[in-house]
Amino acid sequence: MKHHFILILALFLTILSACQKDFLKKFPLDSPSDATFFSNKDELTMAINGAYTGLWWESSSVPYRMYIDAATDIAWSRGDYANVQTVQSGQFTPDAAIFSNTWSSMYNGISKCNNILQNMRRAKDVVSPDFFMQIQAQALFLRSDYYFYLIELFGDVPWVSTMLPLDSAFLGKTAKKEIVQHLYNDLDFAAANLPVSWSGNDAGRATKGAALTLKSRLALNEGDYQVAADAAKAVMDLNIYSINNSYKDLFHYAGAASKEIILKLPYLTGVRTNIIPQIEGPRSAPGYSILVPAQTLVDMYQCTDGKPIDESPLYDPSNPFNNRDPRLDQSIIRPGVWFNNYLFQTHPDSTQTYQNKGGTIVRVGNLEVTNAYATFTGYLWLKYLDVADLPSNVTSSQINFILMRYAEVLLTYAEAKIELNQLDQSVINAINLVRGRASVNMPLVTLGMSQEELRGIVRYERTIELADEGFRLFDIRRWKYAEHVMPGNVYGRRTKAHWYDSVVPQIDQYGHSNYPNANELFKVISVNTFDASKNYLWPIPQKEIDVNKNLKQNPNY
Amino acid sequence: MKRSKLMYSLGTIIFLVLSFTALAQQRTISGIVQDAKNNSPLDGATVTVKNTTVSAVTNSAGKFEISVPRGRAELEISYVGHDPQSVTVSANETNVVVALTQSAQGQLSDVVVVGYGTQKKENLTGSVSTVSGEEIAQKPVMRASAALEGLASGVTVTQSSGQPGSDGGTIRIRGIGTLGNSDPLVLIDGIEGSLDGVAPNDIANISLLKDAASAAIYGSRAANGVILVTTKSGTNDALRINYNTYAGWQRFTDLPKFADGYTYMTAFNQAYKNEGRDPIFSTNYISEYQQKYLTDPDHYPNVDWQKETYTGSGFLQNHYLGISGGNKMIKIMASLAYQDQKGQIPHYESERYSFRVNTEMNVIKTLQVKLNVSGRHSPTFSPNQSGFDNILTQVNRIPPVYPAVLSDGRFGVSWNGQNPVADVRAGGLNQTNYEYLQATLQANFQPFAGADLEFNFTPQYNDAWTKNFARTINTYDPDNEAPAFTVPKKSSLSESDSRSWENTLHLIFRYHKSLNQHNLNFLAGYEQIGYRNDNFNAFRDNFALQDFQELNAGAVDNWQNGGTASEWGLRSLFGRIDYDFAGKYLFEANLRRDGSSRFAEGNQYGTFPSFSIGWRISEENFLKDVEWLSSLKLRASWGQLGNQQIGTYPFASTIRLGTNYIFGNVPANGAAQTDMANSKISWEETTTQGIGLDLGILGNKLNITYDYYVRNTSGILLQLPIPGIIGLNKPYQNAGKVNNTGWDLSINYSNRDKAFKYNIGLNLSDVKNKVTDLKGTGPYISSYSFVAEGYPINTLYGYKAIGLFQSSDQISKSPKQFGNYAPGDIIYKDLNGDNAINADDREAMGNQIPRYTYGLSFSGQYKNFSLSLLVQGVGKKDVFLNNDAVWAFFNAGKIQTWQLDYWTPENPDAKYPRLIAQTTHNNFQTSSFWVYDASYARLKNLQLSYSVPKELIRATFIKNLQFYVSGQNLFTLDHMPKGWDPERPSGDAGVYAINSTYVFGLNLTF
Repeated sequence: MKHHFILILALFLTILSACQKDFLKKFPLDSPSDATFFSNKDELTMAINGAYTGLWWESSSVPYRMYIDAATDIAWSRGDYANVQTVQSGQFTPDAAIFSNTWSSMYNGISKCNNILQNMRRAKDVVSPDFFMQIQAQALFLRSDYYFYLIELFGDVPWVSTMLPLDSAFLGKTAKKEIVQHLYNDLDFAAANLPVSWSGNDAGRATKGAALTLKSRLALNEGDYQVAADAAKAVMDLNIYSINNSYKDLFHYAGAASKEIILKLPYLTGVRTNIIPQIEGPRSAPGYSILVPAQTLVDMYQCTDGKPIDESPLYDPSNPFNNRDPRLDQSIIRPGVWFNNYLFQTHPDSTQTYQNKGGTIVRVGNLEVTNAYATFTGYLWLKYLDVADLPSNVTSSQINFILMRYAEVLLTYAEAKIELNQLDQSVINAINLVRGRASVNMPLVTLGMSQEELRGIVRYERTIELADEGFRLFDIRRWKYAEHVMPGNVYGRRTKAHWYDSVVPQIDQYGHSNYPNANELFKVISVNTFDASKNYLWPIPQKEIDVNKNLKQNPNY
Repeated sequence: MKRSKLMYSLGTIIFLVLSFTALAQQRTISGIVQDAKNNSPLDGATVTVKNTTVSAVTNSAGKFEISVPRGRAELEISYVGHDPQSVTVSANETNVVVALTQSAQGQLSDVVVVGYGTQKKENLTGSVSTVSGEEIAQKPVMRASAALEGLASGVTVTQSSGQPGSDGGTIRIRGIGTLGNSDPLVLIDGIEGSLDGVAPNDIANISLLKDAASAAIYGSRAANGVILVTTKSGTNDALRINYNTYAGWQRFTDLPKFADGYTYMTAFNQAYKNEGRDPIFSTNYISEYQQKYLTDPDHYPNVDWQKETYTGSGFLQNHYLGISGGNKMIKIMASLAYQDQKGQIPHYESERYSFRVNTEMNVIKTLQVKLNVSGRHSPTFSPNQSGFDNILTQVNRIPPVYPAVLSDGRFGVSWNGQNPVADVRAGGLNQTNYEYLQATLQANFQPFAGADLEFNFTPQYNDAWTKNFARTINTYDPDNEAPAFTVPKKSSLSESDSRSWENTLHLIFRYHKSLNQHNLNFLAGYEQIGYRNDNFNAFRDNFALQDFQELNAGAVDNWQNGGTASEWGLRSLFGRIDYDFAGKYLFEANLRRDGSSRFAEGNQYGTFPSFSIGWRISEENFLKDVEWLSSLKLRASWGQLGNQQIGTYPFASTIRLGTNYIFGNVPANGAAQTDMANSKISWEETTTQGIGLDLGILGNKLNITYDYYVRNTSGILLQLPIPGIIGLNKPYQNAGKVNNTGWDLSINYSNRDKAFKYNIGLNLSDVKNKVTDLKGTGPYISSYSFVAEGYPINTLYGYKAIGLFQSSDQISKSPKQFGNYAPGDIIYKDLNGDNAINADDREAMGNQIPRYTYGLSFSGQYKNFSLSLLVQGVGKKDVFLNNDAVWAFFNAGKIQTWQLDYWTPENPDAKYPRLIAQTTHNNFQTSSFWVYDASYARLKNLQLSYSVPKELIRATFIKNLQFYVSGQNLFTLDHMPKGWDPERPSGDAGVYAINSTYVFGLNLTF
């Protein structure tokens, strides 16, 4: 009996002692611990690269920066893609996904930057001081860009500059003005430490010019006109950016290397692609014609004499697209033009159209009419819609989206100086560089023009020049236009009965066209409201309010 | 790893050494077990050598052989419906005849499988339900989990999809104890596995351990209950061969009914008009449509998308071949099974090939070795979806006025070329193969009387391989030769493989001692489980030749791959003492200590105790003479369990690689922390207290079991929402407490005395679930539900709909609602009285956790016919439906016929509000308007079978032949909108509908 016990005991002990001591010590096999990361050049490089990914602020593989124009008066989005139609219509609740997506996208980006800024000193002794400063500068630049969108969209938001432990993450709002001061300082540091340009496999990183551009953009929105003008001037003085001759090419593959581009949102097969061609493209592309220019915007394009269509003798309501600012045809596909070898026609009876099949013109069915969900406004964006993506890459486009370009800097400079009433030759030159672009060639401005006149022109320029690039929402907020341009019906294609009516709309002080009998002339495609007591800010996402009692909702939501 | 291999071999060697010392001490006893009344042999009676696991089963002649230790031996013989009996066989006896008396104890005398052993049902002090293999096997379902529905009290099974391969049931034992994974632990012959992976015919029985007292021996994995599946073993008998088969068809239980093209267009235009927008479909087109839709369907389609898509056969078949037999040295049960289930939508299919070989060897008298091997190959298929939404969503959304198939046979453009009919007929295929192989080596050694030492080593290999090929589909406009759309734009193939090894090792020592009227059982054990998963994936697109669907055939410009691995380990010590005095006073205690790699050092170990007592009052002298009372037992228990189901590394704060960006037009490696970790994370703990009563009346013809319990879970492992400003994904936290209070009742009446033998069973349970503490935080609101103190988990949450506006006057007098609204729109109640509806006016609006779940079964046998039926249902449950399920024109989708009863000034009492086609509109806020009563009663199963009389087949080699017809989900009473099954989960319409099944079957034994 006794030896059995000994054997059993031996067996137990054998098994227990033979077990690996580290049997219960299991750590992730594919990801390093954050306790040791950020401690050498490779790790810092990877970390800063990761922080750039926050720039892909997207809804279903399309940059929100492009979508948010449809939350304003100049564009329209069908079927509530990205929630922008809901935002545009003013009929949203704080639950809408666009608010929480934006909030988390920006703060996720901020946390990636904060993680670097907080822990990068681990690498201080093993990397060169220049490299160290450049990493820090890039992180500060990116963080500032993320904060820019937060404060400009939501107003006051919590200022977070470290990795927050959970128990100290229930923060209230920080005043926007305070955040702006942080951003100015951070962008100054970034501008001082970032190179003027990068080359080779670093091309596309944040530069000194990008930091200054962001600072000028921020200051302009905040009404710090001197700061805005100085920052913009500093970009101009770098003397490395210039206006691209062709406006149209700038937004297509042909313009990828243009000297006008300061910073772009890159897309590349195998890493990330976008579906912009599908969202913007005509039915024949085949695209979904979801994000389209509004009739209002089309009417805003002046005639080649620099006058609005209700004033210019060059405007012919029977041939409304003749003699117009050349950027109309370089930005927008309108009825009567050829695109992608199809004749773009929108009249209800044009159930057939023409296709150019290798030089032979053939009659084919016209989806832009027969499809119930062809472009609702009758127009399409040409910007960022490159035929090279059609048809195979409509859902895997590598077209880059421009985040910052020189024309914006010039217009920011001009607007700031005009608001400061410093109407010197530099302002005139800046505006004329944009208006005088080889492929645009609109009448130049002159030194004798009044502040009011120049203000009107620079606002026109921002609207037209930067359409479809995500600036309009901030512009109509800054100019306090929103309550005037947002409410009312959104007009789509003309009704069949009134298709050929020769009507010249009145263009009001906000650049908007007003037709005497609009509801008969056009199909109403949606109805917008705007409540100036609240809609100048987006609501804080309901999810955030629900989880953090210290975070108060914006007024009147 | 190397060291552990060494250890295993060492263990085996020690066993062999021990074996030889005991080699010469066995002898064999043979015998016959028969009915005491008529001396007929009892087929399938269990003969066990007392205090060991050595057992044999009688053959059809009632014969058995069993090896026992030399000397006097004590055998225990049991058989269903008979009193168990102990027989002492003297040292020189080799042959015994045992006569068992019928009735009296009835089914209470069964032996029940419990954790790491068995227990007499009459001595159970915990709460255990059992289901026999026959009850599972006779249902024509592909998944054993779905077959459990309605069979046991306190066990709720919900089948939410009918998709082949995904139509298993979700099992909840006594409600939902945690906010995370609430799946019970499933052990197949003691090893963690998948219930749906077992061929139903292989199952001998299933035990459901419902309370902490019975489950605590499994410690940290048992908080949601434990399901013990025991597979069949060989008999000590001549070879017996079973062939079971059935074949039949599935049909959807219910489908929504949609309006035709003309009705759709006019109603859709009306919706646009209601919003102040111009109509989409011109009056011209609509009037042309009315004239031409019959003659020119290409230009004026009127498509029934369900009819066009649901063209699969729905055919299913099941084959099972089992062979068992053996002698005193070795017993074998081997089986081979094949199941095939085709969907009612083409290309949905699930197949399963499985085998099992259970071998038991008596090496020497005191050493038994088991070698069990089982495996499975289970390919499942579904059509590749080409569009943004899944095929079922598309079928339920795309309006009839878009063409599916043109008259010349080409696919129509449907909606932007997303054509579900084309998808299922000509699209790519998704395939997942589940492969599984498990081998168990178990040795039992009895070193001295009453002791049993068990060693078990089970390596398990699992592999899930998926291959998704997206084939481009061209769709056409009727008038154009060139394709209008090619969807997807590029063909692509993604292939992935995930394989895992799980090694389980346990060593158990059992000891039994009876002294006078004291009976003591002792168990101590050690167990460790090691797990590693490795996976990789690869992708290519642009296949020039789409018939060659292998990676090498794809283009190389966008090839991608990835892969990773993970590991976990669990190490445990456990023990049990159970004691009874004179079979009257029962006591049991369990203790388990688990160490888990999923927590950081310092928090890795948890201890889980349980105690239970029982009093068999009917054994007391003062009740002995009460004639009608056959048995009465009171039970009480207390125990604690843990839960560690929180991913593999929730404590580790890491940097995720692969957060890549692009510089200079080339990929740039990136890294970022994306998840917040919580190094302080620890065990979730569940404490259960319960009392129970077992009552047998009239010779145990009527049995009643009742249990009442309170189950409190604390430190719930929860991914609480965190402020978004942290910028990381939420971590697990030990937060919150949940209480489940409920009762289970089962009543069973059987009468087998007459020619008409029957059994009626009812089980009924209720559980009230409540979140009792969230550390003062919350409520945590998801899209249509919330977690808040004082409410059941995931209570439906939204605005309270109080009717439809009838006039502008009423609107002007009512609080401000959402956006633009008008008469016919939903009125929400202003709960806080601020005269406006906003987020503060939301309230609880329904409980998604089923209450009053029940099953009512009947089985009857008369001569050669038998009939069984099962009615199963839920007494109280709410679901919230949204999107395509109940909102007309969702995403410009279609309209169901019941929604045509919409509000107009002339139809003020309409079921559906004013037509609106914009989903952000006032009417489509999350509100009680869209909450439905999901209670139901369902004829779950009906089976009629006929056994060919023995006289007819006596001359043949056939021993038994039975035919049957059977149906599943035959009839349902419910309150849902037409087309939506009450078992479907809350949410939208993208779910494969649940099936009714009709089969013919045959069971053959020879």
